[in-house]
Amino acid sequence: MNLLKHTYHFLGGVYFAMILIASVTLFVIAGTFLESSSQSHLYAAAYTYDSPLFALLLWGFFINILFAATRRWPFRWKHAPFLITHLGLLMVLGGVLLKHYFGHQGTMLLTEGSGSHVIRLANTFAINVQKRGEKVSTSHPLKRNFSGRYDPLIARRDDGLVLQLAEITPHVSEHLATWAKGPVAVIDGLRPMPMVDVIDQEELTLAGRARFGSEDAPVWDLFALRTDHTEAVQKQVKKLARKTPALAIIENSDHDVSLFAVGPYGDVWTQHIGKGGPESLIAYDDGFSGYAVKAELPFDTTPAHRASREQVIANKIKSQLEKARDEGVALATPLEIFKRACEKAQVDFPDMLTTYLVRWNATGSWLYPESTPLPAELHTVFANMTWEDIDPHVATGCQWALVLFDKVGEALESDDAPLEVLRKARWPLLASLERENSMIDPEGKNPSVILELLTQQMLASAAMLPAQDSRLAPPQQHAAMLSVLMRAYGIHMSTIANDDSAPSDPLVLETRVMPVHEVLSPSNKIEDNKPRVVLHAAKDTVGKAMALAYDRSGTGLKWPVLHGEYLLRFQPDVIDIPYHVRLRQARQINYANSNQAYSYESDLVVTEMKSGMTRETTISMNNVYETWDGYRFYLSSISPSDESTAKKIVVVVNRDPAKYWLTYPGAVVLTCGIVWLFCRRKKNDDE
Amino acid sequence: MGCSPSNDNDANTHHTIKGRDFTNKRFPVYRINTPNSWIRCDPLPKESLTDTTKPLCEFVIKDPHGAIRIAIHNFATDTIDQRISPIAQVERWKRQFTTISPTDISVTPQAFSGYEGLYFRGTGDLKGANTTVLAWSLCLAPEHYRMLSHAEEDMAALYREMRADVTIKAVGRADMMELHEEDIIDFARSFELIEEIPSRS
Repeated sequence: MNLLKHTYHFLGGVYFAMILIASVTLFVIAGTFLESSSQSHLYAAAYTYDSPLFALLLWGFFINILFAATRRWPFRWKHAPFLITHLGLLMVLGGVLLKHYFGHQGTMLLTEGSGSHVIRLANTFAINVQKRGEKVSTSHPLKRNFSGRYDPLIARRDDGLVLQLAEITPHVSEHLATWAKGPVAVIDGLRPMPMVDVIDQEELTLAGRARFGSEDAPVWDLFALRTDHTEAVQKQVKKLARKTPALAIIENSDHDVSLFAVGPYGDVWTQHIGKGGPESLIAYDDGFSGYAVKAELPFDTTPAHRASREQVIANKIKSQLEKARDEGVALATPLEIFKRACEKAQVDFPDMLTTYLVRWNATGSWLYPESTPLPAELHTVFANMTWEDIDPHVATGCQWALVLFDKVGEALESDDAPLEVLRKARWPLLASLERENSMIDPEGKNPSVILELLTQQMLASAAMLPAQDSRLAPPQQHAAMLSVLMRAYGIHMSTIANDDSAPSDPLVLETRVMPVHEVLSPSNKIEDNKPRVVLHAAKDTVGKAMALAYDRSGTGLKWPVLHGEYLLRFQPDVIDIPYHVRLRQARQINYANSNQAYSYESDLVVTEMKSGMTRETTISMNNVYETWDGYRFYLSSISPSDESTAKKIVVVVNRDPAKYWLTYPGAVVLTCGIVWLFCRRKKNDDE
Repeated sequence: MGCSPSNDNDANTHHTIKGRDFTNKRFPVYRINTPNSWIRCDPLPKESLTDTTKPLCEFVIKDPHGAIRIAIHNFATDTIDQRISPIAQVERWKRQFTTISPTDISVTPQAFSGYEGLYFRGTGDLKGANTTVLAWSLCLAPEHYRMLSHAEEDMAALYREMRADVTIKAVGRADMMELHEEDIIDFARSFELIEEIPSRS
């Protein structure tokens, strides 16, 4: 009995209070240092404020204050201020404890026009399960047991699905594997091709050949390459694809994948999939049958005979020329020169122009090489070509351009950085070339812009160059000179073909996407970690293991399991709140005449689901919406900040269940008690 | 068309607007707010609105010297690829002017109530008068369109109307439009779907 009495007095005594205060002080100091050193609130909280020991301290305070008051029993009037103060303290502490156990804080993601009554609880783990045929998904939280470890059994559902936790990894990186999947490259419908590390860019290993479409469609060379010199390898593929169309899957060490294709007529097409993943995905059966990425290559899979292709372009040129004639539109200078030569040679202008463009394109050179023989009809055309009718400097410019490209053309066309080649060759107009290039091609990804600008520079500076007599030039030189002029005007087979309408039967390739995880060492900054779980899902006699990386926003892809009967996602736990919130509009308000944000606002319609009562409200940075039962809605973020697309907002929802009937009244009672204590002591002192 | 003044007691009048009669029924689909002095003109109850050149509803702002007419159209589609791009609508509005200077045209992106699109403002000669056009070409955000593409049979007709593209076009004398421009912008930006767009859980 004595021990009990001593314990009672100790728990309600000043020594226990001092121990508690000292302990809390140590926690606060530790929390400050931990948060400062790790830059992580979660890390600090895990060892301090969120630890069970800290909750025990709160209970200790509660007991200490309660016993300190009850020790005064039997109560007398003079105890009233003391008791009121302690009652206030107990009410405030009770409110804190109730919030700790029954309150929640989470986020609600809303898009303009839609609404939700679901919040994602911060820093929690759950498996979201959606069954085929059901629109609503269920959240199964991962629960910790007394030892602090996660329970192996996550869920045993009524429909027979059993989810078990096999492993949890604190931090992984995740990317979506598309065309390149680890050691192989995969195009649906073809055998997987082994990925080959590029050692020598000059010698690329062929991974296979395939014919897409009917039997008389061209055969494509296929490459599956791993390199960090993507652009150089693409150039090499382009060189190799002079006779046969080629398709290369190129992956770099960051797992960025390029699909690079050179079509049957030298047209180049590329798709790049970077860290952010593909821009769009195909969801088969809403994801229950998996996801795929698609590439639509602008090359016809129907028999694409060269003749028919040329015919298409010839028809296009012809119709455009006829339209220009009917509308009285003047032809561009190089076309006018060529047309006059055709008229002199009495041949069909569109036919000859097509023949010339096709032959030039087949050489793969920037300009028509003088060494390339001309067919008889074209030979006649260029034999009749005269440059006297136009500005004499044009012919001079063309001739000097041929001289320049003869000297450095090969280096310019094969090098990744043509500006460097010109710098080494001490090109006198380099500065203006760089300036213009930076405006047209700021990222410097298109070397042909430099070549076109250089060609234009040659023509622009022709007046300052010594004149040459073009009359003595052989037909091949005229052909080459005309190609200079055409390049300056942007006329080439590739530009005409690119303007062409999309092919009627394009080459469509698909490949499945799958998540790939790489285990990394976790950071102390817990917020930056991306945990991963390995689950075992079983139903009846079927079982399947699958790995899922944490989706912090809970809006990413759900992955199919058990033959597509279920979709699963590893995400924060979610709960329904009794309020449905609809976002009508969100907006960023800027300071006058600037793009600097002055305020962010969102117009909400909040409906209390039980009563059906609706209230329209606007929340903003310092304007919180609060319900009568302790739900608070804070605007956390708006994206995008401009008006480019429907805006999304994140609303932080906080619930303190005891705030209005315990915490706030407790604070009032406490204040009254302190004031009374103070006044009474003063009175006693005066007496 | 039948016209009626808005409720004089309210500073703002809330209007519901029905969609087109795709299955011989017209459902209330949209909601919009107007100042109380505007006059609303609806198609006659028996009039068919399957022809998309007919507006769903018109509002008229009258003053002693003339009137501003604001028409709301929608264009329902079955797939996302069939949608008309907002820029195509804007180009069409530009071409409707007899003469217009490029400096008197402004096109700005807009996004509100789940829609995204363009706001066109142009002043020029239209049928011999100096006219201002304020017009919005709006499409639902692709994610919303996809959510409304899967519907049970009983909701299919409503969802088809809900995912329709929308244009709001105000035409009037330039000086009068300048006077009412702010009201017209507020009116357009209050436009929204009555039903909430479902979202994925």
